[in-house]
Amino acid sequence: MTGVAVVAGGGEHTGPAVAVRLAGRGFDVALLDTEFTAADKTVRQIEESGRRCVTVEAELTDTRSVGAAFGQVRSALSSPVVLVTCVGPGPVPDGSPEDELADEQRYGVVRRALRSAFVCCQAGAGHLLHHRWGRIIIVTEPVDAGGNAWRTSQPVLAGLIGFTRSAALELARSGITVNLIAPAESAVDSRAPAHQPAVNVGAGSYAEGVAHVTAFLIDDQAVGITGQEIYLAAAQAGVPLLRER
Amino acid sequence: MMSTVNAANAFEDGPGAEFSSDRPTARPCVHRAEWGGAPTAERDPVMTGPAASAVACEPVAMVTGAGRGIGAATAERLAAEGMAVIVVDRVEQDTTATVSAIRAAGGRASGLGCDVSVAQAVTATVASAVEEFGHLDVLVNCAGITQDRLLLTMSDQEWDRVLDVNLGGSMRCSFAVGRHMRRQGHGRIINFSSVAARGNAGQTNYATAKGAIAGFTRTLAAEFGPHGVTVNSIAPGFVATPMVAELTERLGVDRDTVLLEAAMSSAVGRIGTPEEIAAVVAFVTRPESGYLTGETIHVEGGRR
Repeated sequence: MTGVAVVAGGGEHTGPAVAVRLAGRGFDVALLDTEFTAADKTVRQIEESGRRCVTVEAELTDTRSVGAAFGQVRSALSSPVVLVTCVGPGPVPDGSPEDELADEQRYGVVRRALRSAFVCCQAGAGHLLHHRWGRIIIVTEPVDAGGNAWRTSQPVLAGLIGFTRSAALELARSGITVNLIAPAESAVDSRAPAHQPAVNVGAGSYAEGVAHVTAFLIDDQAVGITGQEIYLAAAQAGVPLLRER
Repeated sequence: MMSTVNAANAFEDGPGAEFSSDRPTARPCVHRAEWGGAPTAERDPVMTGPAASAVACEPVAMVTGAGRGIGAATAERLAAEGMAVIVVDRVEQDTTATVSAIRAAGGRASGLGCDVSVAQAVTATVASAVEEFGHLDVLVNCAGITQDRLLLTMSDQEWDRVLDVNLGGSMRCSFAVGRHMRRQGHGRIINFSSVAARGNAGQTNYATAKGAIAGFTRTLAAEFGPHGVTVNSIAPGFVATPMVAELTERLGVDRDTVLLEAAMSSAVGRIGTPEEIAAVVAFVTRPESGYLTGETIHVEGGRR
């Protein structure tokens, strides 16, 4: 199966790597994001490979905005069969333990991340259903060492696991699979990573790993793989052992 | 109420026996060391003086969603174990039954209305609880709702409401109460996840919220551990509560059939009671449970 793939979010690393890989597999690709800073290179790269690529600006937590964006994708390319949605937990404000505002903002970060998964997957699933074939892949972004995004990465990841499994159960009969890709570090550590999780670009990077797993999951033969979590370890960081969930 | 007390007796042989025996009217304030609190004085200069720990008072627990169901059973159980209980539900009126039950059994309870999805309401409620009781030793985040719908037709409001009450409420209350607990150098926070976090059709919102609560529990345990505060969550299986009754009614399915199916899918061959969940909460709140943190305990009668 080929057709149109939507890649929502993913910034400068994961999104482009996945988009280029999908184009390599014969898909036309639409990139959805709140803003594009360096998409020209990705678009050029995909067009040079003989596929079409469009960028559509959308507020990924807003149902109406994302719905309109999918409409634009359908007009410009066609109704999509693949959705890859990248969810970044994002940093939280550095507040003292007494700072109530920082606490509330922390929930806000988790809420936005989870809501973007809901909004994008709901809009995407509506299109995928028309084909009775589809792939939804939810990707969580790695947490940078030194930052404090780890404070939100655990609730976001655990929430997305519940979401992925529930959506998979609902959509299995329609030939649509829903899977989750996450950094292995997030599945192991509740605290800040001691080292940078993975180099951002190139072989062995998280982005390339996600692109590779995406290529695997969009294959027709992967129809029985749904509701699953796939954890990617950084190539240079050894093998983190997963905690029981 | 009697069944709650009987369940308490099951623990009497254990090292926490003093907590499940007949409740005195006032007991010595639980000492930091007894609660497995922060071991060094320099971490917490506020409550380390001998005068502070010699104050006669009973442990204080705040239970949200305590108007009914698992929350009510938990509030009654903690009261039976000798704690003063702040019974919180969305509106104060909903707390009266639980408060009356606790008082009738000789316990100390106070009811407060609070919509945990509203930040200011949580801040105000915790402030008034601390003002009335002076300290807070246990927080149980029971407040939870479901609004089931298939992903394709779920409204923004259904998503937001379930996230804001279940996850947002737990996070807000944990932060607000955690602030006091860190200062005290001890505390127990118990969140409510659910077996639905493993995935459930029609519950993308609820499964997301309940999964996120388990993740939040891990993170908060790491953050609060050095301050003597433990954070755990409990994931109940099928428990006959008003929430389940409302659900079956709304879906138009036969309640008895649902209960029977749930019973047959557990290893013990029956559904759970709110009191059985409350008993696990009580265990986690004990001083000797200080080495248990960041965990999600599934209380679901085993899986077949």
